[in-house]
Amino acid sequence: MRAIRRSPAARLSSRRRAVFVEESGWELPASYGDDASERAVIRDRVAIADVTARAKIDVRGSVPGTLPLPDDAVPARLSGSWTLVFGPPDAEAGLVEAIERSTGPAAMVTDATHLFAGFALLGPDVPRVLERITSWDPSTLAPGAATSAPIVEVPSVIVRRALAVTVIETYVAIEYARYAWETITGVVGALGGQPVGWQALRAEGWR
Amino acid sequence: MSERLPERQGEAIRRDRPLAFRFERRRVEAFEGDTVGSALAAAGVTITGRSVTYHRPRGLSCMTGACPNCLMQVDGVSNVRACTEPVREGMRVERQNAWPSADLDVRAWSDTFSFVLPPGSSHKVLHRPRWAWPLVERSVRAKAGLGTVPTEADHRRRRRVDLHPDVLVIGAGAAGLAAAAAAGRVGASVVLLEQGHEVGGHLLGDRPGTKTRSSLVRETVDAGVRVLRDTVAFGVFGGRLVAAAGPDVLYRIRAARVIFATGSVEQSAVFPGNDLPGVMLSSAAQLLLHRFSVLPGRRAVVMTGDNLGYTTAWALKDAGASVTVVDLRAEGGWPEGFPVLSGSAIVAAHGRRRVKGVTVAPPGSTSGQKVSCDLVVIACGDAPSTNLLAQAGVPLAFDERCQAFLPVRLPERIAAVGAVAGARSAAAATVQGRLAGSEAAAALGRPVDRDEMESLRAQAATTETAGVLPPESSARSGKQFACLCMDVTAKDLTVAVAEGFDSMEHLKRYTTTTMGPCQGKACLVSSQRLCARETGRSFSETAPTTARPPWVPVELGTLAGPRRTPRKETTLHDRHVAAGAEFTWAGDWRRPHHYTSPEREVDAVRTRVGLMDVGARGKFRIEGPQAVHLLERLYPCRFVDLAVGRIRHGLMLNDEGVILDHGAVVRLGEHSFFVTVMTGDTWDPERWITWCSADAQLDARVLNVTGAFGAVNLAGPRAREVMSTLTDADVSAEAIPYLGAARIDVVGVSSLVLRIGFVGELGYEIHFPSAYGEHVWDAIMEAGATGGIQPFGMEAERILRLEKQHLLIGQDTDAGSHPLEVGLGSLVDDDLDDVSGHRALRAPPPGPVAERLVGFTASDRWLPPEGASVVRDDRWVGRVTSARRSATVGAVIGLAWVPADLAADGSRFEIRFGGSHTVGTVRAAPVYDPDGARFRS
Repeated sequence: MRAIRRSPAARLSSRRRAVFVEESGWELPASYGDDASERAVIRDRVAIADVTARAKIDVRGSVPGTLPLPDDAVPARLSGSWTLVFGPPDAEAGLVEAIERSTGPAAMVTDATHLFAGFALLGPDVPRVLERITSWDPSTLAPGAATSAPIVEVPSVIVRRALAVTVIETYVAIEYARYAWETITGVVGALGGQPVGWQALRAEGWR
Repeated sequence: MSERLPERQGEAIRRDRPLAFRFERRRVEAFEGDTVGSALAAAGVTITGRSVTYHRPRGLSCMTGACPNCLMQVDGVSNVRACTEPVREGMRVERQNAWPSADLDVRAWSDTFSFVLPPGSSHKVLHRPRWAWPLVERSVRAKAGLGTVPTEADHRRRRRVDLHPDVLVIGAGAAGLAAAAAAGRVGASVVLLEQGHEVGGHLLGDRPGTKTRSSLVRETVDAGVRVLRDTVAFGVFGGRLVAAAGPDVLYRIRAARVIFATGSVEQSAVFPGNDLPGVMLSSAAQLLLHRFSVLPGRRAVVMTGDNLGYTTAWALKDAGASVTVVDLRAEGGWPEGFPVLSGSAIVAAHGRRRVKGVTVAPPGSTSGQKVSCDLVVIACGDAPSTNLLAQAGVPLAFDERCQAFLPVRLPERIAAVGAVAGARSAAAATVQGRLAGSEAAAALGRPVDRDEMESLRAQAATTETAGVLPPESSARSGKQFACLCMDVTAKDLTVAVAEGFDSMEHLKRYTTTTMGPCQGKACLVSSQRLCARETGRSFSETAPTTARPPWVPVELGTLAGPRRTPRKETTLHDRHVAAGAEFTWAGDWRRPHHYTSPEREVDAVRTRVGLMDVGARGKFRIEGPQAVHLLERLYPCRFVDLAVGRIRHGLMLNDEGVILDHGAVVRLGEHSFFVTVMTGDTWDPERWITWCSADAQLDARVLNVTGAFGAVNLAGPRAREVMSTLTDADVSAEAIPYLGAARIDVVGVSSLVLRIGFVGELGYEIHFPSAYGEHVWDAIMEAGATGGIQPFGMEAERILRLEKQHLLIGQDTDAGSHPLEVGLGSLVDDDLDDVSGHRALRAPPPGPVAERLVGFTASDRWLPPEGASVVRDDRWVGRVTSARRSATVGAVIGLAWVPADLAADGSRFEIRFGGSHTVGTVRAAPVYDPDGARFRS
């Protein structure tokens, strides 16, 4: 039996006929059957994707302004003493090492990959979804910035990606993953959107 | 007497889309675009309901949802305003507060005997004689309220939407539309609220306004304004948070700028018979004519104080009615076309079930000329809708020109435009709106045309015509209503003032005026003026009542919003579902209560091996050079001597010595610790740990890693046998002894294995990255299959821990529990100085320990519930905190607080609950494996 990692929302995706692939030790929802329609939803409406598999590094303490990160890592500075770094699946060990080398003992660097479940919202109707799931004002968040705010009544880290398509990523404590996925997907569905897989995500430029 | 007119320009109804609905026992035909009120008017229905106290017949009055006259039961929902409720095919509509019918209401006798119900009657009449009150109360309660509350559960899905526009405009009349368009066209994000189904406000009832309305609507569309129809702002909180209710949706709107264009509400006049069906406001007549093509009466009397009333008179005449105008002014250039009774007022209306005539006389007179009619139209001025502005903290001051209380000293970021700010014409309102919209956009840094703004300022400063007020009533007989909602008459207010209730706030509470469904929209001005008259003050000196939300009625379901119940689940949740678990709430967590039966699960743990998901337990990473100092502040015991790879149990105390938690501390390295807490609600311990660290300025960092690690407890005599098949590492008692910890690979996953447990058996608590949860669970279940492994839930764990007398913090302890009292004094080191709760622990005790938490056994015949009383000499002396049946020992086992003199081993005490009782016997040692040989093995 090979060790495989799985998002808590994986079974919920299975019920929506998600097709899973193994990648970097994770079982990823690659698609929900039709990449073309998923890409259309991303471009025209709103989509949600389970991106729990992303590597997540929690850096607390004295964090330098810029961290020596690979190109595919995304830093999200939440406060002067708290930064989360996101990377591709299974990149956490390398990221921890690189960040620890940079910060030294001044910061506590923790692999938080399993601490958070992540969901990406994509598409022009993302603001309409947000106004139904959070009291926080999304317009206060510049592209590339991050903040902490409640989503569907639970604490969350929110990252606004600087991509061509509107992308908001929200990370909740992993124990809330199924609840958050169900609730947000319900709102997305009510607005004509749907879950999409990693294939469509990547095809639309998300990394 | 009402009738549908031939097709008219600008009408809202779609004659090509007829529909029908059920009105009591009748089938009423209507058109799409009709409201229930307009359809009933077209069908000749004049009585739309009965008044709340006197059961007087009432008819359409405002057609804007401002008055209480047309509240009806629609599809089972009570108190729906028929005048604004759109018709739907097949809907069921019933009038309220009448028996057997609104047309012939038996309870109308109360109108005749109204003299027995003076103002404040509930305070001074109904409670005497005292013996009769229970009967009277039942009757009063039966009569209270309107309509029938549905008995079925409401399963409608509600939404809550948070909006953060640059500019929020409340009210989509001429001013609001203009403001929204002006702000939106220069790039501001604008939300525009309109309580009705159609935007336009007063323009809707004004045929010449149709063109203006169309133009403004086009502008708002072009400007990208987000218009929320059927959405009414009902409260302003903290200055700028505006709450609004739409169809099954609650909006919480925080805008950078708020423009109040809430308009005005037309006011009725006070005279005997002013509540008769057929007496209506000019807005109602105009809307019925222009939007719904319904002629509300054939012989109309229009009372007005300015030329605006003539617009209605002309419209009625144009539609075929004969019209007589009663003009309050003695002089003026009256338009020709109908008789004008100048310098006069309507001093009484006559009729029983509908108005049949009026008496017209100079104001102040009580008798005069009688005019036969079937429609009375009041066009005597509006009251600005300042309620929301007042809620926003804007002061109001009386404006002589407008004869109304208007907003003054508007705070930054708030603007008021249109009728609410004193504008009397659509043109003036439009100018004010454009200016406010442009100013809001400019303040937000949008590019606006400065020259245009200056021009608008100049136009806005132009003086308008003066406002008018309805005539003062001079009649001293006949019911003349100040408050239609609560059936409060002018006489009631007179009596109340004479009794000393001489301000609007007092009058409101004593007579209930302005407290009904309209919340003062239709009656505040009337009541204020009557209060002024009776107290000898002027209208301007009579302050209105305090504005409070909700400004309009809002369904409780809308306020409650969607039913979201955040829940926590471990990554093993689907495995539990597949294993047939029944779940229970443990704080915010959904955890398995049991899978098969708790007894079978206990047996598996005691005789073979069991597996429990303990991932919900709180987990913290504490790291840093002063991590030991932090731990020694949190727990009253030493950690400096705790070896790497060893575990120590600790009692987390607060400053008062209250036990917060009973957990385990694992030393992972010189400055690195892993701490588990029993509770799954980690917020309190996290806050306390963080506070202690910050308070002492310690160089230690804390991270709540509860969700990051899944955890299972593999427990039972065969646990080591199963464990050895899961890893290549040595898991013997020598390699990982009791209270030892090891980082090893378990089924290929890097894990932290702890030799601890809560159930009194050899156990391994395995912590692993949570995303591997299903993999780890499946592998353990597969490996344990031959050994008879059984998942066990919280109920089995309860029984197992009680057999070992392990207490649960919060369940068996409370804020007054002392470590010595609960038998955990061994976890307190006396020689530590800087410990939370240290002072409390060291404080001179007020006396010997008064009570103790003890284990007990009792007969298996009756299981005392948690909370059952411990009784001595018929007096309560303690309580049972936990109790379960134990098959292992064949008795009830539990924990209870008892007086210290009953805490000795073998002492007996009585337990009672309800009519049952049993005798408990104190057990100083656990009933199972008292020396702990099994879990240390």
